Amino acid sequence: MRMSAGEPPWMLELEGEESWLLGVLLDFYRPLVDPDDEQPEEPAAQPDGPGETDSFAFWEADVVGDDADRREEDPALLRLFPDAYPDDPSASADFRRFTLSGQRRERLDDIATVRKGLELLETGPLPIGADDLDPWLRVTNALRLVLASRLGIVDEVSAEEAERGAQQDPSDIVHPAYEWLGVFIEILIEVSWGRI
Amino acid sequence: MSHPAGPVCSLPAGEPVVERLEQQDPDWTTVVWDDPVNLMSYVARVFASYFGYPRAKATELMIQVHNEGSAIVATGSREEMETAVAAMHSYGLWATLGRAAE
Repeated sequence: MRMSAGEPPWMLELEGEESWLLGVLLDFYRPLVDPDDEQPEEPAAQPDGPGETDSFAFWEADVVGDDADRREEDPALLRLFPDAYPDDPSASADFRRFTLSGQRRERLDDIATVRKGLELLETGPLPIGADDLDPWLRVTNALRLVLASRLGIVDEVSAEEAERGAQQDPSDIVHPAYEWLGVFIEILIEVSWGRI
Repeated sequence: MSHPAGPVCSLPAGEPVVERLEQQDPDWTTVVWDDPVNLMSYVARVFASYFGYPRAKATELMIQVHNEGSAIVATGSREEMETAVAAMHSYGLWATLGRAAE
Protein backbone atom coordinates (compact mmCIF):
# COMPACT_ATOMS: atom_id res chain seq x y z
CA MET A 1 0.00 0.00 0.00
CA ARG A 2 1.35 3.39 -1.01
CA MET A 3 -0.26 6.81 -1.11
CA SER A 4 1.20 10.06 -2.34
CA ALA A 5 1.31 13.05 0.04
CA GLY A 6 0.81 16.69 -0.85
CA GLU A 7 -2.13 18.29 -2.61
CA PRO A 8 -5.03 16.15 -3.85
CA PRO A 9 -5.64 14.09 -5.82
CA TRP A 10 -3.65 11.57 -3.85
CA MET A 11 -2.39 8.57 -5.79
CA LEU A 12 -3.24 5.26 -4.14
CA GLU A 13 -1.49 2.01 -4.99
CA LEU A 14 -2.48 -1.35 -3.51
CA GLU A 15 -0.83 -4.73 -3.81
CA GLY A 16 -2.91 -7.37 -5.57
CA GLU A 17 -3.69 -9.22 -2.35
CA GLU A 18 -4.65 -5.96 -0.62
CA SER A 19 -7.22 -5.19 -3.34
CA TRP A 20 -8.41 -8.78 -3.12
CA LEU A 21 -8.81 -8.49 0.65
CA LEU A 22 -10.80 -5.25 0.41
CA GLY A 23 -13.05 -6.82 -2.22
CA VAL A 24 -13.74 -9.86 -0.03
CA LEU A 25 -14.49 -7.67 2.99
CA LEU A 26 -16.89 -5.55 0.92
CA ASP A 27 -18.70 -8.72 -0.18
CA PHE A 28 -19.43 -9.50 3.44
CA TYR A 29 -20.12 -5.93 4.54
CA ARG A 30 -22.73 -5.11 1.92
CA PRO A 31 -25.44 -7.54 3.15
CA LEU A 32 -25.16 -5.99 6.62
CA VAL A 33 -26.06 -2.63 5.10
CA ASP A 34 -28.65 -3.86 2.64
CA PRO A 35 -31.15 -6.32 4.18
CA ASP A 36 -32.43 -7.25 0.71
CA ASP A 37 -29.01 -8.68 -0.03
CA GLU A 38 -28.73 -11.29 2.69
CA GLN A 39 -26.50 -13.70 0.82
CA PRO A 40 -23.13 -12.35 -0.22
CA GLU A 41 -22.20 -13.22 -3.74
CA GLU A 42 -19.44 -15.74 -4.06
CA PRO A 43 -16.36 -13.60 -4.54
CA ALA A 44 -14.80 -14.14 -7.93
CA ALA A 45 -11.51 -15.95 -7.82
CA GLN A 46 -8.68 -13.50 -8.26
CA PRO A 47 -5.33 -14.62 -9.59
CA ASP A 48 -3.44 -12.38 -7.18
CA GLY A 49 -5.24 -13.38 -4.01
CA PRO A 50 -4.64 -16.27 -1.66
CA GLY A 51 -7.87 -17.73 -3.07
CA GLU A 52 -9.18 -18.66 0.32
CA THR A 53 -12.30 -17.10 1.82
CA ASP A 54 -13.23 -19.63 4.49
CA SER A 55 -11.50 -17.58 7.15
CA PHE A 56 -14.24 -15.01 6.74
CA ALA A 57 -17.12 -17.46 6.94
CA PHE A 58 -17.65 -16.45 10.56
CA TRP A 59 -18.52 -12.98 9.30
CA GLU A 60 -21.97 -14.25 8.40
CA ALA A 61 -23.74 -14.13 11.71
CA ASP A 62 -26.84 -16.27 11.77
CA VAL A 63 -29.40 -13.53 11.65
CA VAL A 64 -33.04 -13.74 10.64
CA GLY A 65 -36.19 -11.73 11.09
CA ASP A 66 -36.88 -8.04 10.85
CA ASP A 67 -34.43 -5.22 11.40
CA ALA A 68 -34.96 -4.99 15.16
CA ASP A 69 -34.37 -8.72 15.59
CA ARG A 70 -31.40 -8.64 13.29
CA ARG A 71 -29.85 -5.82 15.31
CA GLU A 72 -30.29 -7.59 18.62
CA GLU A 73 -28.83 -10.80 17.30
CA ASP A 74 -25.87 -9.28 15.50
CA PRO A 75 -23.59 -7.00 17.52
CA ALA A 76 -22.02 -5.75 14.30
CA LEU A 77 -25.36 -4.26 13.22
CA LEU A 78 -25.81 -2.67 16.64
CA ARG A 79 -22.37 -1.13 16.23
CA LEU A 80 -23.09 0.15 12.70
CA PHE A 81 -26.53 1.49 13.62
CA PRO A 82 -26.42 2.34 17.33
CA ASP A 83 -29.27 3.69 19.44
CA ALA A 84 -29.41 7.49 19.44
CA TYR A 85 -31.32 7.74 22.75
CA PRO A 86 -29.78 5.27 25.22
CA ASP A 87 -32.56 5.72 27.80
CA ASP A 88 -35.50 6.08 25.44
CA PRO A 89 -36.24 3.07 23.20
CA SER A 90 -39.23 4.80 21.64
CA ALA A 91 -37.23 7.89 20.62
CA SER A 92 -34.45 5.61 19.38
CA ALA A 93 -36.95 3.72 17.23
CA ASP A 94 -38.27 7.01 15.78
CA PHE A 95 -34.73 8.19 15.09
CA ARG A 96 -33.94 4.94 13.33
CA ARG A 97 -37.13 5.11 11.26
CA PHE A 98 -36.21 8.58 10.02
CA THR A 99 -32.51 8.02 9.43
CA LEU A 100 -32.01 4.37 8.50
CA SER A 101 -32.77 4.56 4.79
CA GLY A 102 -30.43 7.54 4.38
CA GLN A 103 -27.73 5.76 6.37
CA ARG A 104 -28.06 2.67 4.21
CA ARG A 105 -28.05 4.65 0.97
CA GLU A 106 -24.91 6.51 1.97
CA ARG A 107 -23.13 3.31 2.96
CA LEU A 108 -24.13 1.63 -0.30
CA ASP A 109 -22.88 4.68 -2.25
CA ASP A 110 -19.59 4.50 -0.32
CA ILE A 111 -19.27 0.79 -1.09
CA ALA A 112 -19.89 1.51 -4.79
CA THR A 113 -17.20 4.22 -4.76
CA VAL A 114 -14.62 1.89 -3.25
CA ARG A 115 -15.59 -0.97 -5.59
CA LYS A 116 -15.15 1.31 -8.58
CA GLY A 117 -11.77 2.34 -7.17
CA LEU A 118 -10.72 -1.30 -6.81
CA GLU A 119 -11.58 -1.89 -10.47
CA LEU A 120 -9.48 1.09 -11.54
CA LEU A 121 -6.63 -0.05 -9.29
CA GLU A 122 -6.26 -3.13 -11.48
CA THR A 123 -4.86 -0.93 -14.23
CA GLY A 124 -2.66 1.38 -12.13
CA PRO A 125 -2.53 3.92 -9.32
CA LEU A 126 -5.90 5.41 -8.35
CA PRO A 127 -6.25 9.19 -8.04
CA ILE A 128 -8.41 10.02 -4.99
CA GLY A 129 -9.71 13.59 -4.95
CA ALA A 130 -10.61 15.56 -1.82
CA ASP A 131 -14.31 14.72 -2.28
CA ASP A 132 -13.61 11.00 -2.70
CA LEU A 133 -11.58 10.48 0.45
CA ASP A 134 -14.39 10.30 3.01
CA PRO A 135 -16.15 7.36 1.32
CA TRP A 136 -12.86 5.44 1.58
CA LEU A 137 -12.49 6.47 5.23
CA ARG A 138 -16.07 5.52 6.13
CA VAL A 139 -15.87 2.16 4.36
CA THR A 140 -12.49 1.09 5.75
CA ASN A 141 -13.55 2.15 9.26
CA ALA A 142 -16.87 0.29 8.96
CA LEU A 143 -15.05 -2.86 7.79
CA ARG A 144 -12.75 -2.53 10.79
CA LEU A 145 -15.71 -2.14 13.17
CA VAL A 146 -17.38 -5.26 11.78
CA LEU A 147 -14.15 -7.28 11.99
CA ALA A 148 -13.70 -6.09 15.58
CA SER A 149 -17.21 -7.21 16.40
CA ARG A 150 -16.54 -10.64 14.89
CA LEU A 151 -13.23 -10.84 16.80
CA GLY A 152 -15.15 -10.15 20.02
CA ILE A 153 -13.35 -6.87 20.69
CA VAL A 154 -15.51 -4.91 23.11
CA ASP A 155 -12.87 -3.34 25.38
CA GLU A 156 -9.12 -3.07 25.90
CA VAL A 157 -8.91 -6.53 27.48
CA SER A 158 -10.69 -8.36 24.67
CA ALA A 159 -8.65 -6.35 22.14
CA GLU A 160 -5.45 -7.70 23.71
CA GLU A 161 -6.91 -11.22 23.82
CA ALA A 162 -7.73 -11.05 20.12
CA GLU A 163 -4.18 -9.93 19.39
CA ARG A 164 -2.66 -12.74 21.49
CA GLY A 165 -4.94 -15.29 19.84
CA ALA A 166 -3.83 -14.13 16.40
CA GLN A 167 -0.17 -14.42 17.39
CA GLN A 168 -0.70 -18.03 18.40
CA ASP A 169 -2.43 -18.88 15.11
CA PRO A 170 -0.23 -18.00 12.14
CA SER A 171 -2.96 -19.14 9.72
CA ASP A 172 -5.41 -16.53 11.03
CA ILE A 173 -5.96 -13.76 8.50
CA VAL A 174 -8.80 -11.93 10.26
CA HIS A 175 -6.74 -10.11 12.86
CA PRO A 176 -4.02 -9.18 10.33
CA ALA A 177 -6.81 -7.81 8.12
CA TYR A 178 -8.08 -5.79 11.09
CA GLU A 179 -4.59 -4.38 11.68
CA TRP A 180 -4.03 -3.70 7.98
CA LEU A 181 -7.25 -1.66 7.87
CA GLY A 182 -5.95 0.35 10.82
CA VAL A 183 -2.76 1.21 8.96
CA PHE A 184 -4.72 2.07 5.82
CA ILE A 185 -6.99 4.43 7.79
CA GLU A 186 -3.98 6.13 9.41
CA ILE A 187 -2.48 6.77 5.98
CA LEU A 188 -5.74 8.14 4.57
CA ILE A 189 -5.93 10.53 7.52
CA GLU A 190 -2.29 11.54 7.46
CA VAL A 191 -2.21 12.55 3.80
CA SER A 192 -5.47 14.50 4.01
CA TRP A 193 -5.24 16.37 7.36
CA GLY A 194 -5.76 20.07 6.77
CA ARG A 195 -6.29 19.59 3.05
CA ILE A 196 -10.01 18.83 3.03
CA MET B 1 -59.83 60.69 28.68
CA SER B 2 -60.53 57.18 27.58
CA HIS B 3 -58.99 53.78 28.19
CA PRO B 4 -58.41 51.30 25.40
CA ALA B 5 -61.22 48.79 25.19
CA GLY B 6 -60.74 45.00 25.06
CA PRO B 7 -57.93 42.73 26.21
CA VAL B 8 -54.40 43.99 26.23
CA CYS B 9 -51.76 41.84 24.57
CA SER B 10 -48.97 41.10 26.99
CA LEU B 11 -46.57 39.59 24.44
CA PRO B 12 -43.62 41.77 23.57
CA ALA B 13 -43.89 43.20 20.11
CA GLY B 14 -41.62 42.26 17.27
CA GLU B 15 -40.82 38.73 18.35
CA PRO B 16 -42.80 35.96 16.68
CA VAL B 17 -44.17 33.38 19.09
CA VAL B 18 -42.87 30.47 17.02
CA GLU B 19 -39.35 31.79 17.17
CA ARG B 20 -39.46 32.15 20.93
CA LEU B 21 -40.80 28.61 21.31
CA GLU B 22 -37.94 27.27 19.24
CA GLN B 23 -35.47 29.20 21.36
CA GLN B 24 -36.68 27.31 24.40
CA ASP B 25 -35.27 24.09 22.94
CA PRO B 26 -31.62 24.62 22.09
CA ASP B 27 -30.42 22.42 24.92
CA TRP B 28 -29.60 19.17 23.21
CA THR B 29 -26.14 17.73 22.89
CA THR B 30 -24.25 15.30 20.71
CA VAL B 31 -22.31 12.92 22.95
CA VAL B 32 -19.56 10.71 21.55
CA TRP B 33 -18.54 7.65 23.59
CA ASP B 34 -15.20 5.91 23.87
CA ASP B 35 -14.83 2.59 22.11
CA PRO B 36 -11.87 0.24 21.81
CA VAL B 37 -11.87 0.08 18.02
CA ASN B 38 -12.00 3.51 16.38
CA LEU B 39 -8.53 4.98 15.99
CA MET B 40 -7.84 8.16 17.94
CA SER B 41 -6.66 9.96 14.80
CA TYR B 42 -9.83 8.91 13.00
CA VAL B 43 -12.09 10.23 15.75
CA ALA B 44 -10.25 13.58 15.77
CA ARG B 45 -10.43 13.75 11.98
CA VAL B 46 -14.23 13.24 12.03
CA PHE B 47 -14.67 16.00 14.63
CA ALA B 48 -12.52 18.34 12.55
CA SER B 49 -14.11 17.67 9.18
CA TYR B 50 -17.76 17.42 10.26
CA PHE B 51 -17.93 20.21 12.86
CA GLY B 52 -15.19 22.33 11.30
CA TYR B 53 -13.15 22.35 14.51
CA PRO B 54 -9.45 23.28 14.32
CA ARG B 55 -7.13 20.32 14.72
CA ALA B 56 -6.22 21.31 18.29
CA LYS B 57 -9.85 21.43 19.46
CA ALA B 58 -10.74 18.23 17.59
CA THR B 59 -7.80 16.44 19.21
CA GLU B 60 -8.71 17.82 22.64
CA LEU B 61 -12.28 16.47 22.32
CA MET B 62 -10.94 13.11 21.13
CA ILE B 63 -8.65 12.90 24.18
CA GLN B 64 -11.60 13.77 26.42
CA VAL B 65 -13.62 10.93 24.86
CA HIS B 66 -10.72 8.56 25.43
CA ASN B 67 -9.87 9.63 28.99
CA GLU B 68 -13.32 10.34 30.41
CA GLY B 69 -15.35 7.83 28.43
CA SER B 70 -17.40 10.42 26.59
CA ALA B 71 -17.49 14.04 25.52
CA ILE B 72 -20.10 16.56 24.43
CA VAL B 73 -18.92 17.50 20.95
CA ALA B 74 -21.80 19.81 19.92
CA THR B 75 -24.83 21.62 21.38
CA GLY B 76 -27.93 22.84 19.59
CA SER B 77 -31.58 22.17 18.83
CA ARG B 78 -32.87 18.62 18.89
CA GLU B 79 -33.13 18.56 15.11
CA GLU B 80 -29.55 19.81 14.67
CA MET B 81 -28.22 17.27 17.13
CA GLU B 82 -30.14 14.40 15.51
CA THR B 83 -28.51 15.37 12.22
CA ALA B 84 -25.09 15.43 13.89
CA VAL B 85 -25.63 12.08 15.66
CA ALA B 86 -26.71 10.47 12.38
CA ALA B 87 -23.55 11.85 10.75
CA MET B 88 -21.37 10.47 13.57
CA HIS B 89 -23.05 7.07 13.08
CA SER B 90 -22.32 7.19 9.35
CA TYR B 91 -18.64 7.59 10.27
CA GLY B 92 -18.87 4.68 12.68
CA LEU B 93 -18.61 6.72 15.86
CA TRP B 94 -20.71 5.71 18.84
CA ALA B 95 -22.83 8.85 19.39
CA THR B 96 -26.03 9.60 21.28
CA LEU B 97 -28.24 12.60 21.99
CA GLY B 98 -28.24 14.11 25.46
CA ARG B 99 -29.74 17.07 27.29
CA ALA B 100 -27.47 19.98 28.11
CA ALA B 101 -27.01 20.61 31.84
CA GLU B 102 -29.25 23.36 33.19
